[in-house]
Amino acid sequence: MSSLERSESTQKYWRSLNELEQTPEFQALVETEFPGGPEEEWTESSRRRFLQLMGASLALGSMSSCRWQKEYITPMVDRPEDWVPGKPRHYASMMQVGGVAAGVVVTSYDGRPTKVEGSPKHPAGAGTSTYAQAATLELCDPDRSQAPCQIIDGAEVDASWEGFESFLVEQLYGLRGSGGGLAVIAQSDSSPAMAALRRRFEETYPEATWVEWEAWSRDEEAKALASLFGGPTRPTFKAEAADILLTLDDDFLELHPEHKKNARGYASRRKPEERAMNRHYAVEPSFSVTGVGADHRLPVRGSQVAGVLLAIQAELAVNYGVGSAPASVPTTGLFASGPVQAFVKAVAGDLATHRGSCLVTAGVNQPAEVHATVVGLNIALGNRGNTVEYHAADGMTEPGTEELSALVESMRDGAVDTVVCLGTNPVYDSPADLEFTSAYSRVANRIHYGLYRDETAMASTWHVNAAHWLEAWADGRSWDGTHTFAQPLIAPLYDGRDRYAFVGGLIGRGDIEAQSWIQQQFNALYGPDELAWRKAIQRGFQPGTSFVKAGAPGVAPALTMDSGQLEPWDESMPLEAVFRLDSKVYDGRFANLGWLQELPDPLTKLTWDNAAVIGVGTANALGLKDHDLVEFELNGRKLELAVYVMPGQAPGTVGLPIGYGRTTCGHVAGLAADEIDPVGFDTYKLRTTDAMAFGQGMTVDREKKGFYQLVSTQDHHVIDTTGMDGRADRIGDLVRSGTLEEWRDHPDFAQHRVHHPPLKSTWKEHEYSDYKWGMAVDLSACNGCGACTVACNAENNVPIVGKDQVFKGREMTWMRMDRYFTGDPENPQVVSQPVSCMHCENAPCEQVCPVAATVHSSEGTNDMVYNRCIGTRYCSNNCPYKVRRFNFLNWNEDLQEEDGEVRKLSMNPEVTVRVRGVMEKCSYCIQRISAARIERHSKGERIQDGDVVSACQDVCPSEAIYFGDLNDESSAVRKKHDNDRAYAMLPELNNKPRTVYLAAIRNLHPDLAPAYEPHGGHGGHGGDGHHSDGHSDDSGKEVEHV
Amino acid sequence: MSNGEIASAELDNIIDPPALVQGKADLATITETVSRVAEHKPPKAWYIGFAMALGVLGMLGMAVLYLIATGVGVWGNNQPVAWGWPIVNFVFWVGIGHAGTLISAVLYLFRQGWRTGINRFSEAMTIFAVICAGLFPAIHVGRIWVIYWVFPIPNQMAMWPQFRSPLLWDVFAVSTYFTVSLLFWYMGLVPDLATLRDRSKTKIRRLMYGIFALGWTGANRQWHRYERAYLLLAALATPLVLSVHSVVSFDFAVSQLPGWHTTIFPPYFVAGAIFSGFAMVVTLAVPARALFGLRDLITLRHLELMNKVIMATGMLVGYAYAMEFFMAWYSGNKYEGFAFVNRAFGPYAWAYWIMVTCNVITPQIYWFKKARRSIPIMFVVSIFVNIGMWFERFVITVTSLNRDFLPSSWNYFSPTVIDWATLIGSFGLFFTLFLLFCRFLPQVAIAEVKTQTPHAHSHSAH
Amino acid sequence: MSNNTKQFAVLAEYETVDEILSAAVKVRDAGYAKWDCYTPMPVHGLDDAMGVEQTRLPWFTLCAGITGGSLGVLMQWWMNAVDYPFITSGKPDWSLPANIPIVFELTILFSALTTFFAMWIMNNLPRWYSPLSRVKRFARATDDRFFLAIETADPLFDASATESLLRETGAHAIESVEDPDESPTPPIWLKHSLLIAGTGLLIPLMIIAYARFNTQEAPRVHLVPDMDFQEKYKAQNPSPLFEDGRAARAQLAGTFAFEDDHLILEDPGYYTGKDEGGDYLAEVPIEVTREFLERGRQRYAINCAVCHGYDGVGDGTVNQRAQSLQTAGWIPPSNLHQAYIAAQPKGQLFESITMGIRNMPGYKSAITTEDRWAIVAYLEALQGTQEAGARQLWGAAPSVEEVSPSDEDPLVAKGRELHTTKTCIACHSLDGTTLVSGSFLGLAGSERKLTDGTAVVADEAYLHESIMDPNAKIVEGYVPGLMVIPPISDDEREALVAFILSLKQ
Repeated sequence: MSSLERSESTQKYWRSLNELEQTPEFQALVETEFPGGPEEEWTESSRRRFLQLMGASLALGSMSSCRWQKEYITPMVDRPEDWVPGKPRHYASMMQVGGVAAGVVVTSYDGRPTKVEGSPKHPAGAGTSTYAQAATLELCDPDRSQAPCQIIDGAEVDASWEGFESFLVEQLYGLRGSGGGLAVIAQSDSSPAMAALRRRFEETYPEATWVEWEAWSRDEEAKALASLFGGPTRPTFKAEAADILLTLDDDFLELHPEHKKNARGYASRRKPEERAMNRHYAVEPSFSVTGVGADHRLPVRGSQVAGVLLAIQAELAVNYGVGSAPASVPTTGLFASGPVQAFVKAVAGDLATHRGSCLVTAGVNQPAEVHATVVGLNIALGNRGNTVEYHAADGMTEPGTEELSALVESMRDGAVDTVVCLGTNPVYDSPADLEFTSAYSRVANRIHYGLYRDETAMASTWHVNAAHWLEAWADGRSWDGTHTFAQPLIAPLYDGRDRYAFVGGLIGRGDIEAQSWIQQQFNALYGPDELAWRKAIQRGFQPGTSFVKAGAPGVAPALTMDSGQLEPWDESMPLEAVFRLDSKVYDGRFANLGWLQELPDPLTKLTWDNAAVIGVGTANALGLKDHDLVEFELNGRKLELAVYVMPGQAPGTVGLPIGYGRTTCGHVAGLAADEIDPVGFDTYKLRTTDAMAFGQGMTVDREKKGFYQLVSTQDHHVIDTTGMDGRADRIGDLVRSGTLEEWRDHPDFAQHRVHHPPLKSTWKEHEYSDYKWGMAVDLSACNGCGACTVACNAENNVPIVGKDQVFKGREMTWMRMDRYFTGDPENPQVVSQPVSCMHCENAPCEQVCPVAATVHSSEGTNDMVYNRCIGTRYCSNNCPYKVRRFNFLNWNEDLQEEDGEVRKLSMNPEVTVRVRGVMEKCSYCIQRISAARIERHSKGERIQDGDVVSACQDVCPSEAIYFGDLNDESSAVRKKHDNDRAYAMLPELNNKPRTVYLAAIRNLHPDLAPAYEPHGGHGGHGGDGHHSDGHSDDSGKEVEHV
Repeated sequence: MSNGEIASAELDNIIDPPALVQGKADLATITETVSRVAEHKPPKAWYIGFAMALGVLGMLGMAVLYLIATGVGVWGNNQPVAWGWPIVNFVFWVGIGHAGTLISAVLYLFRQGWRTGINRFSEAMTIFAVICAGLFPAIHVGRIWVIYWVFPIPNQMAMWPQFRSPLLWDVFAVSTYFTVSLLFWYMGLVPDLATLRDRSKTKIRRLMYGIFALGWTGANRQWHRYERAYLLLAALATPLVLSVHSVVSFDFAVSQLPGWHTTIFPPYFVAGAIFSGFAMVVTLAVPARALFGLRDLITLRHLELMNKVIMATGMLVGYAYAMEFFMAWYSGNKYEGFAFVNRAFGPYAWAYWIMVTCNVITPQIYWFKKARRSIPIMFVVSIFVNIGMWFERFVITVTSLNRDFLPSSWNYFSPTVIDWATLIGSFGLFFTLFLLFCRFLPQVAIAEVKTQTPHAHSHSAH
Repeated sequence: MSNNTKQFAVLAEYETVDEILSAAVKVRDAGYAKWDCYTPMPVHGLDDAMGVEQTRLPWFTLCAGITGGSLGVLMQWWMNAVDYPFITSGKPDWSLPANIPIVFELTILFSALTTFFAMWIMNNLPRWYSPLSRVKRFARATDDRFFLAIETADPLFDASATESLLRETGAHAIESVEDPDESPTPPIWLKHSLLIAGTGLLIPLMIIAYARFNTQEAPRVHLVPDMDFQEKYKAQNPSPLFEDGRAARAQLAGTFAFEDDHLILEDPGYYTGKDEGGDYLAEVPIEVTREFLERGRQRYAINCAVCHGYDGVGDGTVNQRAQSLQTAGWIPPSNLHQAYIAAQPKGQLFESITMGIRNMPGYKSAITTEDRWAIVAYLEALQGTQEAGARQLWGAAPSVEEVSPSDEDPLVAKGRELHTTKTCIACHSLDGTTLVSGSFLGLAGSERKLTDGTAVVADEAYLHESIMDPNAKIVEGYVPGLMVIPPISDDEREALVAFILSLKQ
């Protein structure tokens, strides 16, 4: 009789249709012995990319000197009051992306910024994006532009700020008073001080053009709301108040400016024991992080989302009397199908029964009409004021393509002779049909202001280097309008100028200086009060400055639907291109940050690349598979792209993440001048003004197929039938999930997924009577966005290894995000599970280390003693979770080079920089525990709950990670450990992990899910966990849903 | 002896054996046959072989230097296959290193006279195989310059090794095994070195052999203690030889990885070690006896007996393979079960089936006496077994690691050029040492073989 | 080799095992003790024939095995459970099962080594030379012949009788073995190479000893830096990136960290010791509790007592040491019980601690704001234990010297103030006590003996000169360069001189 007994409630997990169907090509690939991939093809460029990181040199570390280095202490001559060397200080600041400011808190170590975290007090939500996590890396990027330069005939001429200023005197100041032929292409900026400066600029150059440009903009939403409310208007969500959510192609948990606030509110309703659970419906073409969390997801083409909305609108109006019925209701094609009708009925029913406590949102990609309809629907449902509010966002703009198009037109006509690109990179990211580059070259004076010598910089006549936001004063408005301030954490490393000084220079006001200018504007807004100013700077924002509520909206124009879009896709139809903002490199501006490039995409798990993401059925119909390099054509523009087959991508759509394929960026993202190939594919080449979000009529050349090695962290290689069966057999044990009914019926259902004999050690186990650190991860709240991975990288000096090493399976991330699919390949559900060291009490890694390099602390953390490690890697073999990471090569070798010196600035001084040959892994942020202990114990106190916040916990937008002292009865983590949903991974090994997971709960609509059948016999077996009835037969059914 | 029975060396003694020394078997001939190899220029083949071995050894040197300078990343090891070829090679060589001491010690205790023809030979093989084996754990660590931390010597960290680790047991087991094997081998060599000393024509030979012969004169009072010591060492080496591969198997069995965590490993590893060790002895003995004219001392009967051991241990190994599957299924542990299904049908199925073919199927040919006594067949089979046993270690190490508990961490392992260079290079090291041994030292234990001739026995009853 | 030889043994040669066996029996029966048979391989039955007793070798092996095993247990127990225990996989510090493999291996290792070496030692090997080797035919002893040798040292040995005994045994040949007086020795080069090799083995030990005890100042050899030097900047590290060579960067003007409440100046008094009008706070702006005073006492003991002494009279160990060395230019720490200090408003004391005063550095970066106030609060309590402070505390009337007379000349009054504020008071007391230098009390008009032997009256001109150029005239008993030229204006000097003149007795 088996000693281990498991319920068979596991779902069939798979990755792609290849696996499911075992195509001949797939079989051939599987059967190849040692499939090494075309390694040689890209090894060379990868090498250069990482500055010979891969250890081609025969030098042993830095064996240049064989004597112990002399160490010097260089204290500050005049140390400021209360400044203790090595004790981190924290500054409020602000990071602005896409014209929306986010409040952050920057940790400064000896006057150097080392970590960016969310500002907990900021009214717009305590959040940082993955982009902000990588800001310190950007600050210390050796590829940043380090001086102004004049570019004559493509050659960089070394120049100086003086040279640029004399250029301004000669070429620009003569225009003062008119400004004819002068144009500025500026990044979207919410800064009130910049607005004031822009007014000065307009006074100085009344005829000049000032165009804002963002490659990714919320302009459709802005247009819709502006026409409804009669002025710039922004919606804010109270996701925590929504019982029912309908997100229409909206990644409001990941790519919304207020994503953290949204995610927090949303996740608070995904923890069933805390508050009644919400139900989330998502309609989207490409799988998004928001779609991961959805209880029901309907993959449709981007252009069909409006149809779904129409159908719901009609259903609501007809059956529930909510709002007015639309004139045309789609009933043919896709909308004639059962699942879609059931979905529409379920959504409409849920919305109608939760009037005032439901929420409908639409995404950036959707046209203005959809947004307008959504506003109307929300108001009709009584949600305004409850789950959504509309604010008058005076002065806030969302640039569209029209202004830029007009400017490019006049550039081409020769009407413009001076263009200033203020932080923008239109040569790279402007719509392809504008042919910006050729128009730009017709302008006599082309000035580029930016962080990098990027594509636009090299096409300009002058490039001047910008100060990084960590080096500069700035202000801005957050999404909710709160006036937010940025203070510099360090003097500009490369003498870059902030944008206030730069624009001041343009108008000949060399005296304009960001700090005083912003303070002047502050005084103008809030009265001259030095104390208020100082407090605002210290706090990072001025309270009470959020936007006021907008008035009543007008009536939304009726939504119409192109009937040609109703048909379900089949092979004979062209494809729909769906452009997506990338959650790693944004619109391409963060492309040179290795942490982000190596961060696996939340869904595809791809690193160091983007790809044409197509659905399983689509791939099947077109005969495409992973790694195929094929040519796509959209409106006559062709582009070769690697294919990635992604379950859940709507049939007939091609997901195209933007922001890759940089040719002039840096040694990470691509630099043609140094023969460094771009990372990924430049999908902007297909993006035109009429297809900024969706492009219809895309075709693919199926005949010419090349091979392109895409590298992902999870499915390093294709999986054969055996592996698939094995995986399907166990995932349900590892990632436990259930429905809300199941949970209500058996709150501790997760603990009974695996039955095993009582776990007893043959010896008396160690007791941890003092602190007992532990972690809990709520899988119900986790949406797999991967921010924890980057935060961990930044906190713990985790090195990047590069694409070919990731391909070999040597990525170093301490926190990895496992994701598995379940259900129908065309519309699967996704489970995400963050996995890092579990700090097992009976850690299997420890007993096999011959030199005691990994041992347990008295507080129960599994500590890695780097300088004791000799690198046998036995611990990794014996770790059932495979969370240990080995330095196979000296990943930090480039730091020893000249360029590396500046990168050393971004390293966390509290964490060892590991060398090759040693093992490493998550330490539970032991340096943060130590810092808290010093702080508390010096006062004779114990560490309190909340004193220690791990980096992953801090960044998690969904508050899915809990960390603290398990001996503290009142600590949040202890409560989570005691929660019924809590289970340990692989508990039968008697490892006693200190990290537990809380089973994911889905709140399924009864009409869309198989009926729930209560289990028998689950009640009376807690203690020994042994259970021998045949219940495993019935529990198999519950998961065959969707 | 009927073919239906399991071949057993012991049974053989019951039946009147053919003479262990053939041809003109007087004492002087034996001395002459063995000694002349060391006393005369070797055949051309030796020079060619030695040059090749040195070349391959040089490649090993370069590969190891590159490895130490750059990091273990030059190999194909990754996560989760943290142990790749180096550990496969280590276990492979340690296994080979088992035959010598087993033949010397165990067969000695069992009074198997036929051991004398091959024991020197296989002991030397043991020593060199263990040297090759010892190389791999040393170079596979991440920071080779601090590897001395595995020894219980005071160091700057004031820390001691962690004695619960099987790797530490390994350190003690393999080093003890090497030491005892070396002592055993050397002790057996001393009387033969004295023979070479006494036969030497040149002063330098006399001096060199003389120093290592320690002044041995063959006095009976010395022979008395010598034999007693030999017996004691044999008695000590016998449990040792069984323990070493058991300890090596603990490296796997003590961990909790599915496919490693089994109690069958110690006997299974020992059987496999004997299997591979005997195969290697055959691989080496077949050309050596032809090359150096030792056919009369290493007779077909010797080879046939070894082939019987190979067949027997091959079936033991086959039984272990089957038993592993049975246990995996019978335990009802899904991870354990998967590990074995994955071995046979997963991405490394080819390796598994190579292993089964070479180790289980190939030796079955020895049911036929003709095959057992056919030099070409036994040479080919022994090489098959060597290959099969290397793949056995590959299957255990790599296939178990490449897919363990969490599917998210599954990954494929592919060797690199350096992996190949270190594997092939280790053969260079082995053959360099072995060819030097063949050239300068008595390949057959002269004194011991003499004890097996009628001349060594009293013919009068007393 | 010497020509003087003496007989060593008689050697008989046999061709078969049977011959040697029967010969051995005969020699044994003849009662010889120092004799032996020499055979190319071990011959069974020869031990019995010779009457060789069983060797004791197995006992050595047994003892060594027990020793090895016990050492194995002890070593693992001591190293893992006693000397450096750590928590490993939650297991007990000491658990025998995990230690068995190593105990076993050590048992075998010790036994084997002992057996091996004991056997050679008992066999008297290695030996460079045997007299038997001088006999040419004896070379076949390791080939195909059997020999029996009876040594002359045997008590029964008789040249002719022994030889005839051997003849009786049927020896094929009998030969006398001669032994030179001086036995051959290993060649000198062999000895030297052995010596060199032996010394070579000591080299690592010598290097270790050298490294352990050498006093060389060059940093130690460090081939692989590993993580001893990491690619990051710790506190106060140097950096080549910045002009000032420091990795630490100064806070930028106008930026405020959360820790920077003192720069926000929301509550200026708390951070500066002054109120909005710029006047010093009279009292500590924090509620003074027992804990707060205790905190102040601790901070005072840590930061202040080394100079000011635990009781605040200025006799801290630093001062004592400086006085004992008669350090030139040493300005002793103030007696904190002096009336002028006790009279200071608390805000002024706070400022002195924050910004420093005279040669005392500012402590703003070393002591937190709250702790500085704690020290001020403690100081008040400390002063309360002494007279001047007690008067402040309990309102006793101040003495005449400490308060300027109300009818004082304004110039003199200003001088009195300057005497304190310009820190003259640190060295020149007003009550006749000698601090670093003479008291001002009664200085005016007195005669000063100078080091050059002359004398001068301390008149107004002298006082002016002494303030402006303190080294112009050095009074006996004082060293030049001691006094610092005070940064004062001419007017202030006038006032000071007037004040000093007013102290004329």
